[in-house]
Order: sequence, then C-alpha cells, then structure tokens
Amino acid sequence: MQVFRTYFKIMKKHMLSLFLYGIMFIAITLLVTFQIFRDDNKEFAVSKVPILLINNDGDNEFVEAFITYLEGYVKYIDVEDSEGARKDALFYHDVYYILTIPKGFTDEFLSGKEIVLTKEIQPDKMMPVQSVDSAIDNYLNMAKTYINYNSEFEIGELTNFLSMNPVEDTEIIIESSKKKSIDSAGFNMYYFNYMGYIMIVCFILSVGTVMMSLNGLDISRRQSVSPVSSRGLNFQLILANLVFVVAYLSILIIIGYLANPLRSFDFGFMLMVINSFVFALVTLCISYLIGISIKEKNAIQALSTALSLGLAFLGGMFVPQEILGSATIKVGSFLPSYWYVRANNTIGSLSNYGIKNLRPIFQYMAIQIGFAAVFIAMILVVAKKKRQNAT
Amino acid sequence: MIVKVDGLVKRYGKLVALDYLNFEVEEGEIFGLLGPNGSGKTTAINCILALLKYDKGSIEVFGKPMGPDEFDIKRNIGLIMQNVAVFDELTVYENIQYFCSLYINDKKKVNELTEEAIKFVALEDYAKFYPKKLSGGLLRRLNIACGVVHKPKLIILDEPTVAVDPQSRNKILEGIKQLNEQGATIIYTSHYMEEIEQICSKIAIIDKGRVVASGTKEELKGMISIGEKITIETFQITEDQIMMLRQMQNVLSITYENNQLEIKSGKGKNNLLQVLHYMESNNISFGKVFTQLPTLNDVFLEITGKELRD
Ligand SMILES: Nc1ncnc2c1ncn2[C@@H]1O[C@H](COP(=O)(O)OP(=O)(O)OP(=O)(O)O)[C@@H](O)[C@H]1O
Ligand SMILES: [Mg+2]
Repeated sequence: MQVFRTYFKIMKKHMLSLFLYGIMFIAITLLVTFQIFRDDNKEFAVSKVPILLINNDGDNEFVEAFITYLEGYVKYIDVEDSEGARKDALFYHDVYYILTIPKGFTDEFLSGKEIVLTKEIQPDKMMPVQSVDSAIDNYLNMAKTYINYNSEFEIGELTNFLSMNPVEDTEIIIESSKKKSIDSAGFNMYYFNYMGYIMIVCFILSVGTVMMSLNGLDISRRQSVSPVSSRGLNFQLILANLVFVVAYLSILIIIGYLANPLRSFDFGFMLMVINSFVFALVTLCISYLIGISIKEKNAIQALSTALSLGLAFLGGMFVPQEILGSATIKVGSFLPSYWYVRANNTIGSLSNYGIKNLRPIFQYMAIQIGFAAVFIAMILVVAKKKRQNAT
Repeated sequence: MIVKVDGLVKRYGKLVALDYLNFEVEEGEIFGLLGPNGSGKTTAINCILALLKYDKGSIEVFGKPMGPDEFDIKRNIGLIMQNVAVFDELTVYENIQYFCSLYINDKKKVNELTEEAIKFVALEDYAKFYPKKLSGGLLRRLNIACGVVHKPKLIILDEPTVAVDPQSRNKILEGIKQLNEQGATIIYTSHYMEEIEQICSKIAIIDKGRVVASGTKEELKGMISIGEKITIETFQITEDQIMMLRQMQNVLSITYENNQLEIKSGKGKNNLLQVLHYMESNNISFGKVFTQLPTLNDVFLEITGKELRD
C-alpha cells in the first residue's frame, strides 16, 4: 500500500488550505443559515403566509371550500398575470408560495385518483412554505379518508364534513412535532447546498493536485517500470481518493449536524447525507479528471475557483433555483450541481415520505450518477491516451 | 546475456524510429548507446522497459522475454531519465523511500537502502529538504538516488547529463562507474561522445534507428581509416603548397579555414614530422601545432557522412 500511503503524505501538504477552507465555509454557512432561520421564526409568528393562488379548475363547491379553509393559514395576494411578475413576486418575497390548482382537479380528486397540486416556492421561507404544505396535505388527506369510507357521497356532504371538522390538528401539528422537523430540514437544506460548493473547491484543489503529482509523465514512467502492476496502482489510488472524500465529507456533515440547534436524525437528514455522497462521487470524478489532464499546478488553482463558482451559481447553491432566470436554469440543468441542489431542496420541502414524494429525489440522484458515469468514461479515455504517450 | 535486442522495429505512423535494431549487453558492461538527436535511443530504451509496444523483433532481459507484467525482471532494473522525476511534496528522504518501496516490501530494508542511497549521492545534509530547495545539480543526484536505491542489477540511464553543469556531470559519471564496480550492468545513452568514451566499455553507435557500428572504443576507431588529426595554425600558406601537402604519403584530406590547417592522415608513424619538415623547408611560419587521435565523432562521420552533433 505504498501508493496509498504516499497519497496521504502528499495530501498532508495541502491540509492547511483544506482546513482553512473548511473553517471558512462552516463559519459563513452557519452565519447565513442562522440569519435566515431567525427571520423565518419572526414572520411565522406574526403573520399568515402570503400566497398566490391560480385556480384553473373553475369555481366549484369543493375548490371553494378548500380555498376558504386555506384562508385560516394564508393571505391571498394578487399578482399580475405573467410569468415574469410571478417570478418577481417570489423573488421580492411578496408571496412565498404559488399554488396552482390544475384543470380537472376536482373531478379526478373526487374519483379517488392521485393528483398533485403544482407549486413554486420561495426557498428562503422554508418554514412558512412547509406550514402551507402541511395545511394542504392535511385537508386533502382528510377529504380522501372521507371519500374512501363513503362510496356514495355528495360534494355538499363532503364539504360540510370538512368544515364541521375543522382541521385544527394542522395547527397543533405545525406548532409542535412538525415544527421541529421543519426548522431542522430548512437548516439542513441550506447547509448541504453550500456544502456542495465547498466540496467542489476542496476536492478539485486537493484531489486534483495530488493526482497530478502522482500522474505526472515522468513519475508515472518511473512507476510503470517498477514491479507494481498498473491495476494495483490504480486500485490504491481510487481507494485513497474514496477514503479521503468520505472522511472529509463526514467531518463536514457531522459539524453541520451538531451545529443544527434543532437536530434530528430523521429520514430527511439521511436522504440529504446520501445525496451529498452521490454529489461527492461526481465531484471526485471531476477532480480526478482534472488531475490527470492538467499539467500546471497554477491552472488547477484557477480551475477550481472558476469551476466551483460556475457550478455553484448555475446550480443554485448560492442563489435559490427558483430565483434564477429560466435561461440560467436551462444551462444549470446540464450541470450535476443543479441536480444536487434540486434534490436537496426537494428533500427539504418534503412534508411526508410517501414513495410518490421520494421518487423525484431518487431520480435527481440517478441523474448525478449519470454525470459521474460520463466523467468516468472521460477519465478512462484520458488515461488510455496518457498510457500511449507515456514515452 | 543481460539484454538482447533482436531485429527491433518501431514505427510512429510513417516514421521508422527503430529499423531492425540489434545489440547485446553482457553482464558487467557499461554499454553506451551513442547517436544524434532523434536517432531512436529513447525509443529503444522504452521498448526494452516494455513502456512501448513495438512492431517487430524481440527483447530479452536477464535471458527472459521482456513484457509489461514481467515483474521479476522489472524488480532488477533501475531507470534514470533525462527529466527529474520526483515529488515536490515529499522530502529527499521520502522521495527515495517511496521509490524504494515500489520494489521492496520489507519496511526496515527500505529504510536501510534509502539511507545507503542518500550516502551514495552525498545528500546526507539535505535529507529533510524539499526538491524545490535543491540546486540543479543536487536535484540530479536525488533523481539518480531514486533510480538506484533498490540496488538493481541493470541500470538504464537515458541522457542523464543533459543540461547539467560540468562539475555535476563528472560526479554523475564517477557515480555510474562506481555502481558498475559494485556489480551493476549499465546501459547509458547519450549524444555526447566524450562521455561515452570516458566511461563505456562497449559502444553501439546508432543512426536512424540502426546500429551502424559497435565494439570497444579502440575497435571502433580501428574501423576507420583516419589514424591521426593534425592541426596547425599558419597565416601564409599558398594553394600550391596545400596541394603539395595533400600529395604526401599517408595524408587523407586537408582543409584550410580561419588560418587553421587541418590534416587527416592514415595510420602510421611520423605523420607530424613529415608535415612539419615540409613547412620548415618551405619557410612557412606556423604557430600552435597539435595532434589528436580520432574521436567517435570521426567514426560517426566516416560511417554516416555527417557529424554527430550538428
Ligand atoms: N511519441 C512519438 N510519436 C511520434 N514520433 C516519435 C515519438 N517519439 C519519438 N518519435 C520520433 O522517433 C524518432 C526517435 O526518437 P527518440 O526520442 O527515440 O530519439 P533519441 O535518440 O532519444 O533523441 P534525443 O537524443 O533527442 O533524446 C524521432 O524522429 C522522433 O521524432
Ligand atoms: Mg532521447
């Protein structure tokens, strides 16, 4: 395991900068997250959540009852009917939530089909957004239960039932048990999104430079004349990379977990951890690729800065994805960082862990793994080229 | 036989880098591969080390066919290249230790050998230095230590003295001789004939991927007609007088340029005396006079019709 050991000896030389980046990242992230956190708390306490409701299903008894019910939790805001105006309203926090009732919603819902309400949210306001989510979920769940137990019913009966049994539980749920996990998830979402950025910077810098040292033309010539097989060599390198990445990421995650004042080791947190490991794999592949294709140490510095800023910005790590223009989003969707953030945001806004809600998250992870596969293919091509030119 | 290269052909596209190359290296030799830039020395070395696939021919090392997975053969080879190949992030000691550990598993043995190698290249005072802090000459010595730390039976050096100052160069050459005395067989490539002449016990001259002549340096010089080169500084010699000189017995060729008269004569005695006698009797005054035995450059020139270094 000579190569494995030497990998870490070389890595040790970059430890200081890794350490400083880590500290800086954690300090900034915690500062920002706590700020958001505090704002959220205040607003939640004083006012109802401003939302924009777009009803494409026409007026009917069921929808009307639903809208009336929601009024207990939200304040309806009017926004000019254009895509741009709606984006602006979200951006300037005029509304936190845009809820669209799709055409045919009532009919399908009442006939017992699964149907999803479309939403756009302001991720800075995760807590109020989630309270709206659970208010909606609770109402619809109650309605569903009613439908399931009463095969023959009139809409009037249903709405009566719903208004007779005001879903007061919602309030309680939001205030007590739910509230805790809402806050915790919001915190995690910010922390993990920023962590994506720090992973890109640190992995490219460290893995990139170490791989470059170990793969330099002259060094690799020396290694290929030695009695260590190239398979054994690569195995040691890959193992070393994985050990490093897992260790570094684990430290960041543990700090994030401990820093979260409302920490709870729930399923959502687990999902974010899994997502961050998936993204770490992608970042590792990018760094590895850079390490074996770049020859200049200074170029790696520049590249790590440029790539991390680009990936982080376009992927929505700094500025929430909802606020990015549609053109940016289009570009972003060609980047793994976008899918990492998207998965995180989706996990952060989960109100229950039904398979229907989880499926998109796993899809986003699968897309990231797809990116990793592409980078691995590129690594194999570059490595082969290098072997042929090894002289 | 330590190395046997037989009918080796290597093409890069249309370019034939090695053209039925043959040579053999015997145990205990310092074998010199002498050839101008681009003659195929590095290509040949890379083929021997199985770093490069070739089109035709065969290579045996230590009596066995060489291949990329012949780890028992590789274990006994040391390589020193033109470029310094060390880690900037590791100290002198750690660098040598690392390359040793690729060959030897026993940790204690590795440390012993590392210390021995540091002593051999006289870097004791710099063991904790990082390569960036070493001067060019010291860096070369580190490079050599990394290549020979595992005490290989065969050491291959590919132009290890390119861009090295004369002092370090001599140190390196002495070191190579010392390794040879300790039992290692050496293959040494260079386009500096002086170096090759200085240390090699057997020489193969290659040009355009072929061996054009081989043998000891005496044998090589014996192959050509020139026995002696006479250079005379003179300011007032006429065309006719040069003609006369040219017709003298044993004179092969004469050139007169920049007041330097250069006479190449065949093997035999009294070549110089004969020329000086003519100069004196014709009242041609002259300054410095010196004679030289033929060099490997002359050998190369006579065989290929061009200079070793252009
Ligand atoms: N990877 C390559 N691709 C194409 N041609 C190559 C390659 N490597 C070497 N050559 C060509 O093969 C020939 C032999 O090159 P080689 O490097 O073996 O020469 P050399 O004797 O080591 O020269 P030098 O003294 O400059 O090191 C040259 O003409 C060179 O241009
Ligand atoms: Mg060469």
